[in-house]
Parts: sequence; C-alpha cells; structure tokens
Amino acid sequence: MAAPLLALDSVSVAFRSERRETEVLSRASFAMAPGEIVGVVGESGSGKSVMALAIMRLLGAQGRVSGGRIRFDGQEITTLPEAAMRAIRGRQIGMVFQEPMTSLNPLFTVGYQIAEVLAIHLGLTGAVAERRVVELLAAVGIPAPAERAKAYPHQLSGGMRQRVMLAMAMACGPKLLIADEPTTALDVTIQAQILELLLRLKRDSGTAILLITHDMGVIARMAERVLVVYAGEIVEDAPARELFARPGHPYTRLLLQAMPTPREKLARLPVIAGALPPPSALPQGCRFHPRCPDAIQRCRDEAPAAFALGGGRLARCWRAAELLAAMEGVR
Amino acid sequence: MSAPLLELAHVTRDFAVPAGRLRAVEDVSFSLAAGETIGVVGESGCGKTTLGRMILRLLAPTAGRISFRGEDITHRTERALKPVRGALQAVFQDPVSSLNPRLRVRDIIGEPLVNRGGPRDARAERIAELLSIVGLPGDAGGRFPHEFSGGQRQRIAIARALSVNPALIVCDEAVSALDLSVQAQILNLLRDLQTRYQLALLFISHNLGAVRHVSHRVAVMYLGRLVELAPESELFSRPLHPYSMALLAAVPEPRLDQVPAPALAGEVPSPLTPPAACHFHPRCPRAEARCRSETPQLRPIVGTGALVRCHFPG
Repeated sequence: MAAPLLALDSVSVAFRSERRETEVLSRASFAMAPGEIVGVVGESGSGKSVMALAIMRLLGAQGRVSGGRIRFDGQEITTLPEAAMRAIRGRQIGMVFQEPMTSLNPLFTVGYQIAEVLAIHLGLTGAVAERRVVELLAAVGIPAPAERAKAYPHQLSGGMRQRVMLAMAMACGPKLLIADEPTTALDVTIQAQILELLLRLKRDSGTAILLITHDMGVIARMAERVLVVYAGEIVEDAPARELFARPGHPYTRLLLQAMPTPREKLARLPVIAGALPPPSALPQGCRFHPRCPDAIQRCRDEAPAAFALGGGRLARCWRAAELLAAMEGVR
Repeated sequence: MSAPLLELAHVTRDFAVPAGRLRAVEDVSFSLAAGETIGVVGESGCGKTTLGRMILRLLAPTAGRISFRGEDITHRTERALKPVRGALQAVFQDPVSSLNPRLRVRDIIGEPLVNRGGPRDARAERIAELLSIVGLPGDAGGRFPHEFSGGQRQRIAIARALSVNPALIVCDEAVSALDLSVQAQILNLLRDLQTRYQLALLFISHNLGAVRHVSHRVAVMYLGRLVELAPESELFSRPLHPYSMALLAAVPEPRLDQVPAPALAGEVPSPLTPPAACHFHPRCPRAEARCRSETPQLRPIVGTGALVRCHFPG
C-alpha cells in the first residue's frame, strides 16, 4: 500500500465507571489507503463505534485511548493537543451518524448549520458561503436546494436529514469520512439512495470512507476491505472479495450464514449459540471460543494473535488456515 | 381450507390530525387461517403497525369489518372483547419498554394467567413449562428483565404471549432490535412454536429476509393500501407489483455477485397528501396516464396465486 491515510497501531480504549476501568477495544491495528472504503462490521457492543470515536478523539470524559497509536495523513493524532485536533475534525475527517435528528440543532435552519461549518473551517461568509451551501445541498441530491436550505431539521424526512449531514460532512472536502450506521434508521429504498450517494461522493472527491454497520449486505454493497469486530477485537481483516468468497474466521462465517435473505428460504437459519460477552466478563483464551463450533482445547487456553492467511487477509483464530484449507478441499 | 381464523373486509382507519385527516389504512381485505403466517412489509408510514393494532383491537377501524373465529369483533366494547383477548396476543419490537421492569419474570409471564384465574400451583407449573418452551433457564422466573440480554427479553415477551394459548400472535418488528446472531435464534423459535401449537402469526417487519423466513404469505403495503398479497415463494421469486419489485431490489445482499438495481427515485409521499389514483405512480418506472387518473383495485393475477393492486402488473 502507498502511504496509508489512516493507521491504527495496537490501539486500546478503556472506559471508566465508578472506580473500575474496562477495556472495550483491545489492540486494534489496521491501515487504510486514501480513497479506500473500509467496512467495519460487528454486533452492538462489539466496540466498532468506539473505534471510530477513538479516531475522532471523541471518547468523552469517561473514555481514553489506553494504548497504541493512531496516525492520520502522516501525523500522529493520539497525542495532538485538542486545538490541533479540532482543525482536523470536521475539516479533514468528516462524520455522519445513525440518527441525523440528534446530530442537527433543531433551532437553526440546515443552511445556517452548514454555513457555520464553512465559516469555522474555511472562513467563508456572506453570499459566497450561501452559494456554497446551495451547491453542497445539490451535490447530495436534495431537490430545490435553495429552498431546503431555509428548512429546519424537523421539516425534512429522515433521508433528507441524512443527506444534509453528508453535505455538512463533505463541506470541507475531507480526506476521510467516518460513517457510523448511516442508513440503519432509514427505509430500505432510501438506504439504497444514500449508499449510491456515498459511492458517488467517494468517486467524485476521492474521499476514503470508514463505514461502520451491523449489516453484511451493506458491507457487500460498499466495502473494498472489511474489518470484523467481535468483543473488542478485530477478528478478521480481509479484502471484501476474499471475505465473502471464503470467510477466514468462524465468527465471520457464522455471521454471514445467520443473515436471513429474501433470496432463499431455509428450513432453519443457522444460529450462533449464546450471546456477545460484556467487556467486563470476557472469556479466557479466544474471546469467541464459547460460541465457536470449531473450538479446540488451545482456543480455550490461549488467545490467538492475528495470523496472516495470504491474499492480504488476517484472522485472529488458531484454526483459520486449517479451516480455510478444508473449505478449499470441499470446493 | 376451513373457515378462516381472522377475516378483514375493507378495513379502513383514519386519524384526525391538525392538518386534516390521515388515512393510515385504506380498504384492506384478507383472511388468515389457523397455523398460517402472513408477513406484512412496507416502509415507514405504510400503515402496517396500525393494521396490527386493529387486529389486536387496540384500535377500532373507521370502516370495514374484522371477524375473529367467525364473529364480528369490529365494534365490540372492551367488556365484550374479553373472551377473545387471550386468543389475540402481541410481541413488540422493544422488549425493554414492553416488559414491566419492576416485575419478576414469573410475574410478567403469569400476568395473563392471573387475569384468567385458576389455582396458584397450576400457574407456577405453567410458568416453568413456558420458560422451557421458549428456551430460558429454569431460574429465570425469579429474576428481573434488566438481568437479561435483548434476545432473552424477547423470549420472555414470547412466553407471556404464549401463556394463555393464543390462536394468533401479532409480531410487530419483533426481531428488528436484535443483533443478527440472536435474531436467527428468535426467528427459528417463532417457527417452531407455530408448528407446535398451530399458531397463526401476523409478522410485521421491514426486514424482508426475516419475513421470508417465517411467512407463508406476504402482504406488501404502500401508503395505507395493500398493493400485493402473494404466497411467499411467489412474492420473493417473482414480485408482480412494481413497488414489491423495487423493495426487493433495494435489499443489499451479503454477497458480491449481485448487480445493484438503480435505487427507486424519490421518497414515500406524506400520508396526509397521498398522490391521486395509484399512490405509487410518482415513483413508478412504468406509470402511465391511467395510473394518475384511475385507482387500481386489488385483483387476482391469472396463472399466479397473487393479488395485486396495479394496472400493469408483472
């Protein structure tokens, strides 16, 4: 890979509650190239959103990066003073979240809120800023953008609000867009529109996208590379075509099988037994072993490292290479 | 088929809103047999939840008739509904807000049994049986809802619904808040229970994959109207209404060999001001003048098991 745009090196995140500190993300490492779409998939509580917040340095008073380093665009940002970080956040790294209603201020028009971003980061004001706001709203596919700029958030539909959030995130031409469940609250036909829009924004502006979702379908549609997160660890890191053809980690495989699709009806859906363990009560050894149908004694005793499996993929599993070879044999 | 368990005839529901009248459900007719599941799909504002609430008789229709076991329950008073209340049960999306946090699980599950009377010992026995039927540990009865994960809480809600031997359970987005691995467990459980107890289910969901997995027939709704009603295998392999097609095409699949269809343009119009004639015509790729002037009726399509509300189906 050319110089990565974003690189996490063994990043851990801990949250404090009362007197205890709990690690919710453990030694996460990955790198993403400029213009790449990396999908992050996992269940609620897996740590996937915390990873995004750590990159943005938005962990709040209770959370902190407890280990490792994050480099963005050649600069270490883990230790950057808050003032310098503020110049990166919003300008070089844009973000959108699941629920645009809570990210937008209900008291101001959407045009005003986008103009505010332009004023803070780019020093644009007056008629120039106004023109740019309308351009940005048009670029995210909002019809009658000049009129919609005068609308308050509650006057827009969920899909339109998410487009406004994207216009705001893209306002300064960021190198990286972090999108955390950007379509989860939307209807499926509107989701399709927003996903199309994200692909177009990436194509037109070369923005890299870190797309966080629980939906393997969205990952398949969007991502070039996929990180699978389970119980605070990245358990697989693979190019999308490898991952969907032959999942390397048993958890990835089960996750793909458990998704009911409208394309076929099965007599029974394969299930993953049990539930995700809370960060305060992680099992010994491999964190997935109590739910893993392929677990052996070693998985119970010893935590696996992330092993390279060839084809640019890594899996945190003692048996991944062997299971993949067996899968090859079957085919 | 014997007499249907549930029958809806031209059911309509209006709500008075400051801006006028909102027609949440319009002229919906279908019947549901014992042991059958109908999946109801559609996007926000299509009326699927209002439909479920009318079937549960938590709401009365503005027009039309609802019959349950051959008896008209459309305008029954609360007192007159009492004999059928037990037979009509519900499981909702969010098991956190639908379970009383101050009650122990055994009291939550036993509540419908208490209402029905009977000896205390029999009740305790029944609760233990229900816990095992839905796959909860035997000691769960003494604990509180917050001690359980989302999937387990949904099992508690299902146990409560089952406690009074219902004939029909309305599941409104019952698996939507659950993670994938847990969702599959609950979907399998619902199917097992249905076979075991000949339950009828009305499975309301925006998740088409989940709907296919549990349903025998599927109803597609758009802006209050039933636009297609077809056997599951037909609807998913050959949808006939352009909206059903668009809805299916919009679901991203967890595989790379799919060719994404172009997204459906526009948004669902406000139910306060639905488009004239066919509600779908402004977004429909095959709309013609007739679609703007003449409301299509739900009609059988020759050579299929489907009912479709479209002038140009297929």
